[in-house]
This record gives sequence, structure tokens and C-alpha cells, in this order.
Amino acid sequence: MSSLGKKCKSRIIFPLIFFLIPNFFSQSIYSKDNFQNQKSPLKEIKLNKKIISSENIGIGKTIQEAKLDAALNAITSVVGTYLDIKKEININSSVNNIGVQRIKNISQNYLEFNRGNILSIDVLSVDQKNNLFYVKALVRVIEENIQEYVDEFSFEKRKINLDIKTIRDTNKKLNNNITYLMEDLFQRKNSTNYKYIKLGKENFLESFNYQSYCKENLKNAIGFCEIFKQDFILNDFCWLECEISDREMIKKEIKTYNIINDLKNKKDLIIIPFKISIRNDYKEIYDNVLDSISLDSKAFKNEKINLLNFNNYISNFVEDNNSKSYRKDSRLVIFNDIHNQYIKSYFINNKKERNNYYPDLFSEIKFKTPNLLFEIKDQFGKTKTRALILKPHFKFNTKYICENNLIYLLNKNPNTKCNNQEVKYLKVFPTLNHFPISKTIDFSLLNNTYYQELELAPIVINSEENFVLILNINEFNLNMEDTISLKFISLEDSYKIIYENENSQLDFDQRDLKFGNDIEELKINLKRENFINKFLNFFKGESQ
Amino acid sequence: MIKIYKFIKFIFIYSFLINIQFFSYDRNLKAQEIILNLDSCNWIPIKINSKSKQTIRFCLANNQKDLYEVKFNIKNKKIISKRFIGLLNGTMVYKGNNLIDQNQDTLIKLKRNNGKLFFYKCKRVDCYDNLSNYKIIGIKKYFWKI
Repeated sequence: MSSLGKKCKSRIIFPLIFFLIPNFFSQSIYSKDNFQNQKSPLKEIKLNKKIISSENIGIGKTIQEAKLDAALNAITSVVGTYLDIKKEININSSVNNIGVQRIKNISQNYLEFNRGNILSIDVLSVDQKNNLFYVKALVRVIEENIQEYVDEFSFEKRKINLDIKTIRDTNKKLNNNITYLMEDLFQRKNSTNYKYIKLGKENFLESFNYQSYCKENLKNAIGFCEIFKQDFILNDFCWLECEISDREMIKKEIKTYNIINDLKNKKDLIIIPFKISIRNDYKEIYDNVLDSISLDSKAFKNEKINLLNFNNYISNFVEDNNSKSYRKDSRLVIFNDIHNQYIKSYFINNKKERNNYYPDLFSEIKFKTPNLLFEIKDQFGKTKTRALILKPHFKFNTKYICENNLIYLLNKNPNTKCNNQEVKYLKVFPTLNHFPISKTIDFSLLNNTYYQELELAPIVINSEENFVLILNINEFNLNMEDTISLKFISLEDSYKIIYENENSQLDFDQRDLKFGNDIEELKINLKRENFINKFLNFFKGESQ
Repeated sequence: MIKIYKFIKFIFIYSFLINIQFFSYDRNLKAQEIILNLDSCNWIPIKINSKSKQTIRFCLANNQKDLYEVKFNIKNKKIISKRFIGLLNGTMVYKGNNLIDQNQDTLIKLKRNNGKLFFYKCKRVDCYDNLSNYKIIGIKKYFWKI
């Protein structure tokens, strides 16, 4: 019995040992050394800074005013975009005089703020004619902070006193303009001309070649054009992951492409590709502004677009900076320069000494929804049709495919069906925007994205975005000599135009408001009259 | 008695064949074939070598718990090798040399925090489960994905 017991025991224990031994020896325990936190070397992009002397004449009611004017003119002459600005005024003033005054202000702001600070002002001569002072001054402009310079020279009271005032006034104005520029950018107000629209060649949809359009536009990411091929297989293109884009973006792009391809009455439709881009000079302005207020900034050369490298770069950047600042008070801004193939990140934290330009950056930003004004003019320049384009066709459910919800036709009462397969008047589709953190859900180069480690959503600024405008020529009675224009319109001007349009349909006696420049008054009246409630959903915008 | 012994033996062998977990919660002996879903390869190593032919990803098995380090050959679209690391948001226990003294066990913990993948190995007696003791082994593949 005992020998049997021993035998039983050994037979039970043996299999147990057999099962357990592999567990003891197969410990593939990870060595921590394999996972050292190694950061990939990133290429830095540095901008050259210059000091430029410029001889200028300023005009003003006082000498001080004239000197200030000379200082501002100096910045303008350094930038050398005066002609460009004049052109802007001409173009924009054609919008039925609405916004002319505003644009004048914008130009002034634009003139006032450009890359840098006034370093010194030497008055060469002063003349007085018709109660106006003409000051000729030699102005030196530098990109670096002027404050230290002013402090250093404040000991030389006799010469410097007056100049310090001018310099400080100028720079105070610059600070105000930085706030103005920041508000315009981050709230998407469309108040400045930092972005522009470039219309491509029109074509009948029937004969439009999407492949060549793609290749022309995405020269730096031509691989993305593969997705428009008939034999394209997503699972092959993105076997483990996609390099240029991500699955969601590609699926959406293909869906848009298919919707455009499946549109009915193609022979009546023309397609006009267009691009919204940020102006080169503003690119530098915003780079300087963001650089000056950020805790850290770093550029990443993205020549061979690889999302994983980009992801790694951002991750390292955030990790480095998160340790330096309080999480709730930090905002990441990512600037994606598509043309020059680099991405620059700015880590901004809420410190008074560094950032008093735009405190709203550290709370929820109420984004406005920018609109476009579409206009057809005949060969004599007379307006045939105008429409506000409120949103691009970016979603495919019933609510968003209705043209009624996407455009506002002036002088027409559209009653269009909600149909994905038709373009009754016009529709705009976002397309060829492959970068996954860029959301082309409206006509803005700015959107927010998501980053789990950051309390406030990172903001993405794209240097350009692509769209196509599809137009039904029958509805608009489009002729060969007609011209089509597409321009940004501010939220306030959109209100005005809609209000004008709605009011023009009322009897004269019922009109109780004459347009002035007081936007607040206009808003109050709009609210009271409750005219445009149906559009408010579009104007409310989205918040992060 | 012999019948009882045979019955016990049968139970042992049968159980071993159908489910090794009956004996141990250690997944290291897992016998069944692992099915990896490529969509669950959500993490990349901290350092990426884009020139290397081999690509490493951290992938979850279909049960969404077992985490593997997987080497891929992207060009040929094949898995070269896979190595079991541990249980996501769980603890793996490896018995120490002293089978009786549980303090000698080695624990391996894996955590996901803010999209990052954290790894912690310790002797049970010295373990202190604080995130600062963990090492980051991987980061989220796409930071913008929710």
C-alpha cells in the first residue's frame, strides 16, 4: 500500500513539475536598458535676423505723430509690400463698399506690424506746411526685443528722451497689433489679409482629371495620389499603417472623390479647384510672434512625409516641455508648412512676463466659422450673382449635404433637396488634404486637434488647404466672358450682407435701421429682428 | 484506489490539453495560437529607425490584454517574430528560486497612461506601484487619435 502510495505520489508530482519547470526557466523578463528614453535628433530651422536702416518721411499734426508715422513707414518700407497692400484695398473695396473702412484699418494694422521693432530714430529734418508736420527720419529696424536697448540708452536724457517716447509708442502699437493678429488667427475672424485664395483652372466636371490635379497640387506628397487609382486597395496601401495619411483621412478622401464622380448632370457642372494659403510675409510675422511668446519652439524637417516620425517629434517635444510648465496653462501650436516641408511647434505657457498679448489662448477658444463670398460678374463688371458659402461639404449625412445649409444665395430663395448626388447651385468639397491633424471642415487654415497629455487642445495652423468648387452653370446662367471671384468675408460683413438682403425684401417703412459702422448696434438689431436665426448655427462656430 | 488515480491522471492530462491556465495564471506557457489584430498595434518604440527593414510595434492580442512586441517586415508584409511582454493593466508573476517564499517572485506590470505604454519589473518584496518607477517602452502611434 505504501509503495503504491509512493508510486501515486511520484506520478502526481512528476507531471506537476513537468508543467511548472518551463515557467521557471522561460522568464523573458524585459531589461530596462532596452528602453532607454532616446530622442531622435531633429533638424532645427533658424531664421536670420537683420538690422535695416531706412530713410522715411512721416506726416502728423504734431512732431510726435509725424515721427510715429515715419517709424511705421520705415517698417513698411523694410517689408516692401506696399504695392501688394494697395492691390488688396482695390480688390476688397469692390464688395459693395461694405468693409472699406475696415480694410483701411487692416492695412494700417498691417503696415504697423511687421517683423520687428524700431531700434532707433534719428530726425534729419522737420517741416511744417498747412498745420501738418513733415518729419524726415532715419529709422533702424531690428527684429529683436527693443526693451533692453531702450533701458540701456535711457541714461542719455538729452537726446534720447523724445526718441524713447516714439519708440515706446511704436512698440506699444506693435503689441496691440500682436493681440489683433493673434485674435484674428485664433478666433478665425477673417479680419486681416493673412490668407488668400488662389483659384485654379476651371473645367467641365466630365473632363476633369483628378489624377493630374492631384499630382500638380501635391508635389511633395505625390504618393497620396495613389488613392484615386481604380485598383487602389486600402489594406495594401496601409498594411500596418499609412505613412502619408491615416486610414480615416484616406477613406474620407475616397468618399469625397466618389461623390464628385457620381454627381448627376455632369455636363452642366464646372469644377474650379482652389487653394487657401497663408501669405509668406504673414508666415514670418506669425512665426516671430509665436516664437517671442513661446517657452520653446522647434522645427522638424518633414521632407519625406512620415507620420510616425512626426508623431515621435511631437511626443518628444511635449514631454520635454511638459516637465517645465503647469499642464493647465500650456498650449501647443503646430504650424504645418506644406510648401517648404517643415513643421514647427511652439509650446506656449501662460506667463505674464512673456505673454500678455492673447490670454484667451489658455482657455477655451471660441472659434468663429469663416465664410466665403462667391460672386459672378458679367463682362461689364456688373454683379450677376452673389452667394455666401458658409461651409464646405465635409460630412455626408442629410443635415450637412443640404445646400440650404451650406450656402446662402443672395437675391434668390433656394429650395434645394438634400441630395448627395446633385449640385443644384454650388457646393465646395475639401480635397487633397492628407495631413491627419488638419481638419478641413470649414474655410480656415486653423483647427484644433487632440493630445491626451495636454489639457488644452493643440492648435494646428496649415500653410495651405485645397478645395474644389462645383458650380451648376444652368442655374447661374454663366457665360464665357463672366468672371468668378471667391474671397474671404468677415463674420460681421456676412451679417451685414444677409441683413441687407433680408431687409431689401421688406417695405421701405419697415426698415428702421440704416447701416453704420457700429457692428455692435447691428448685432443688437439682428438679434431683435430675429432675421437670421436659421444661419446662427453656422456662425456660432465650434469650440475646442 | 487505482481507479481514482487513473481518474486524477486523466483530469490532469485533459485539463492540460484544453487549458493551461488551470494550473497557473502565468501566460508564458500559453499554448494556443495568438491572433494579432494589426489595428491593435497602437504603440511604437520610443526611437524609430526608419532605415531598418524590421519594424517594431507593440500589439494587443485579440483578447485586448496580452501585449506583444512584434517585429514586422513591412516590405514583405510579414511578421518576423513576436514576444509576449505581459498583461496590459495587469501583473505577470514569475516564481523566484524559492518556490515557497512569494516575496522572491518577480512581477511584471504594464500600464497605459496618457497614451504611453509603461513597463515595470520588480521583486515582489521591493515593488512599489508608482508610475515614476515605470519605464516608458512605447508611445501612441498617432497622438491625435482619441
